[in-house]
Formats: sequence, structure tokens, C-alpha cells
Amino acid sequence: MQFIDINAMLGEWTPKNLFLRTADEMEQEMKRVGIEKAYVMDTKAWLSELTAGNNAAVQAAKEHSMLSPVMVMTPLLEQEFGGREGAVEFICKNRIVAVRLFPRDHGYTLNPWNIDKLFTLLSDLRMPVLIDEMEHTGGLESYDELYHLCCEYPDVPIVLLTPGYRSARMIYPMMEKCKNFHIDTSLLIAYRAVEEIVACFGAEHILFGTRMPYLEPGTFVGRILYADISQEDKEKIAYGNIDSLNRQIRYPY
Amino acid sequence: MAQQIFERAMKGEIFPELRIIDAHCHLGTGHEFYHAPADIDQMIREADSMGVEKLCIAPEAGIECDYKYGNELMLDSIRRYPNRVYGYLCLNPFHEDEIEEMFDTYYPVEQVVGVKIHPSGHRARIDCEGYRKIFQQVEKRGGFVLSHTWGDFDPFCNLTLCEEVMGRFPKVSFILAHSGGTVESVKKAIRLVNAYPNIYLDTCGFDITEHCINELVDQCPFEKIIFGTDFPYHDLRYGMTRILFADLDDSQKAGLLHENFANLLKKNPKK
Repeated sequence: MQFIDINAMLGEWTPKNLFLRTADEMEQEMKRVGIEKAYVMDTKAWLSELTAGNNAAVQAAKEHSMLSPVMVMTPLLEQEFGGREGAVEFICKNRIVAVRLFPRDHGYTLNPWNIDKLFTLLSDLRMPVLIDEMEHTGGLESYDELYHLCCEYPDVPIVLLTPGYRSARMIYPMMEKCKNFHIDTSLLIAYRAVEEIVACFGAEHILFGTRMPYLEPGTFVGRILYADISQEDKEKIAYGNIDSLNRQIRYPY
Repeated sequence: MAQQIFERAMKGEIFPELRIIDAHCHLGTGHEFYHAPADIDQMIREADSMGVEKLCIAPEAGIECDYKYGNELMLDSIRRYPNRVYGYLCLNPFHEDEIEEMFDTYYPVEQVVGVKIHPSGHRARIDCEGYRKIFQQVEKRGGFVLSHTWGDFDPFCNLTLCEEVMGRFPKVSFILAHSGGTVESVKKAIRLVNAYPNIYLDTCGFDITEHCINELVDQCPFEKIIFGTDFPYHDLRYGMTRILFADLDDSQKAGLLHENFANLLKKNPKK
């Protein structure tokens, strides 16, 4: 069974202790545990310099066929991305596969008044948006914001990364109400969370993601291999859902 | 490096021949967050599905407000599955006058192997008088202590406090549950297991950090690493795949999954 990992990072890390540091090492580990492709951002785009980090992710993907580039964005399209046209050009030229947001660490909110221009663009592109529940400065400010985002922009697949094992009372009702709300498998470790979500809300809500190299990827490969769900649902989670979202992206050129 | 376990795990096989013991389990549900219900029948079914021979349980109730109810659940589980379940006696340090009676009631049961304490859950510092009395009982009666631990900001069982206390009871073996939990505390936990013969650590719950299993194996005395999953807080499958899919050889995986805890039991029998 093939796996596509929606949640991977390259680059340096403040606390340092990552078990793999380069794209070559990442590809080696991916081959070891059976991950065929990884969506990667560069940590500079998150923790240092946005443009440099996005360029680094693109460059890594150009040099490593198992990697696909993720772009970190903020609400300031004009000032930080050359306007809507500049952002679209970067996305199309480099075949960006997802956009990742860090609202707490980058100092903005997910309220529509703040991110409407960005999300209008992402909605036009049908671009998957990845939002971390594990930023440096803390978890999501508010699941309310996330819910309103899902309702306001139903054409944007919104993926909450690393929701953790304590979030069921928030994310279950969210999945029930919002077809475009997804989570990844990193730290989806509560007892039978995978099985329950599949049974109650559908396997379409879960995307395979490992948060490597922050977390050990093989663990999550195994979690799906051993999951008490049908083979069809395993394949959806492992690669089918991500593949489907990717095919829906509307690159203007 | 022998990698048959990994290759078989990639096919979804299970490993009953390894006689896996999960040294850190609970039972039932708690209040802080939702997970799927797990009575002992369900837990044994899950254990069977993953080839796990024994579960060592401290019911969630035992580390929350009604520790006696938790111990009743633990004993009931042992009675129903005497060959599959080990139990931890759960104790609330604020009920000092009940400590000896709890030991008298539960410690004679063969499958009760030690004590589980949860200072954060009971909101009691690990260096309080009640815990001191509990450790004195373990010193006298044998067994060992599995203690919840967490990061520096935890006022009840951060590793600085744990070191002070555990250093004062060198004849009592302590397992640092969650290995300190946070990025910095796992580093401390590694230092403690190297420095103190009576301190061990387990493999669950510090998953949120970037420390991986290989790092523990490289930096700790191997026999001090105890396999535990925190089942059913965490899914048993996840806890196991952390070992099965690690970049270790088969003998190391076998050691982690069975031998290390089996040897800990032999070294810490009840008297």
C-alpha cells in the first residue's frame, strides 16, 4: 500500500533534536517505511524568513522527486507575496500542493475579516490549507474560528494538522458539520480514534500525515496498516484522500 | 541488522511469540477528554488483535477522584483474566491513614506487581508525606512504583522533584512514566536513568516531542527502557508501532517488548 504524507518539514529546528535533517535523509526514511511522497515545507518559512523558506521548499522538491512543495502564507498578499498575481504565479510555476498557515506564530487570526483576501484566492484555487494545532506559541486560539472558516469557505479543504489525542470533543462535531474539514494522522493516537472517525464521519476526513521529522513516521504508517477498518478505507487514508484533493486544485496555468 | 520484525509488521502481522507485556495501561475512561470506551473485555480483545500477552493496568478511576473504586476495577480485571492482567495498586497520598490497609488488601494478590501514583492527577507533590509513606511500604513489601512524570512547569511531578525523592529511596525501583513528557524533561529522564540504578523510564506519552525511540536506546542503559503504551488513553496499536517500526534490530525490539519488564519484575518481587 502506498502512503502520501501531507505533513512533513525540512530545515533546521530550534530545539535541534531531529533524527533526520536533510532531504536525502528524509527520502531514505520514507523509502524505509513505505512512504512514496511527502508534502514538505521548510522551517525557515515558519520560524525565520517566509520567502527564503518557501523558496527552499520549492528547491528541495525540484531536487528530490519524492517531495512536493508546500507554501507557507499569511493574510498579507500584497506585501508578502506580490499581490494576488504574484501569489498565483508562485503557486503555478512551482506546482505548490498545499498552503500551510501558522496564525499564532505569525501574528494573525483566522477570522474572516483578517484572512478573507487569502481565502478567496485559496477558494478559487481549491487549494488545501494546512493549519497546525501545535505551533510554538500554543494550540489553536479557537476552534470557533476554524469552524467559521470551514463554513465560510466550503470549497477550501481545511486540514487540521496534529490534532492530538485530546481533541475529540471539538473535532468530532466539526467533522459532522463540515464536509471540507479534515485532520491528519499525526498524533491521532486516542484509542480507536481512526476507527471511530471512519465509522461515524467517513474515512474522507482523515489524511495520512506524520509531522516528520518531528515525530517518527513509521509509527503512523503502522497505525494505518493495523487499523481495524476496511482495506478500502485504509487506502483512502494512506493516499487516496490526499490524491483526490490534489486533483481538485485549479491551477490557472 | 536483523529486520524480520519490521518486514512482518509492514505486512500487518502480529507477534505472539514475543510475549509482549505492556507495562503502562489504564482501564475505563477519564474526564479530561474523550476516547472510545474500554472495559477489560474490550482491552483483552485489542491485546489479542495485536498479539500482546499481558496488560499492566491502573484504572483511570484510580488516578482520579475515587482511587478505591479504581482498585476494585483492577482486582475485578485480574479475577476475570488472571493470566493476562497485572495490576497496579493506586493510592491517593491525601488518604494517609488508608495506605497500609490498601497494601494489606491488594498486595497479597499475586498479579498486583507494584504501585501506580499520579501526582498531577491527585494534585499532590511527589515529595509529600503521603507519598513518602507509600514508598516506605514498597521498600518494606517489595514491588516497584510507576509514577506519572511531566515537564518543569508541572508542580507535582517534574523531574527535579522526582530526582530528589527517588534518590532518597534507592531500594525502591521507579519507572518514570512518560519519561518526563516534554522536550527538556526527556533529556533529564535520560540523565536520571544513567545516574541512578533504581530509576527506569517508559516509552509512552512523550510522543509529542522530537525524541525518538532510537535516541533512548542509544543513550540509556537498554534494560532501563520499559515498554508501555498508555492504552486506552492512547491506542495500543500506536504504542506498538512505535517499537515495531523503529529502526532497531529484532533483538532490541524483543527486549523492549518483553524482556526488560520481565527482568524488572524478577528484580523487584514482592516480599
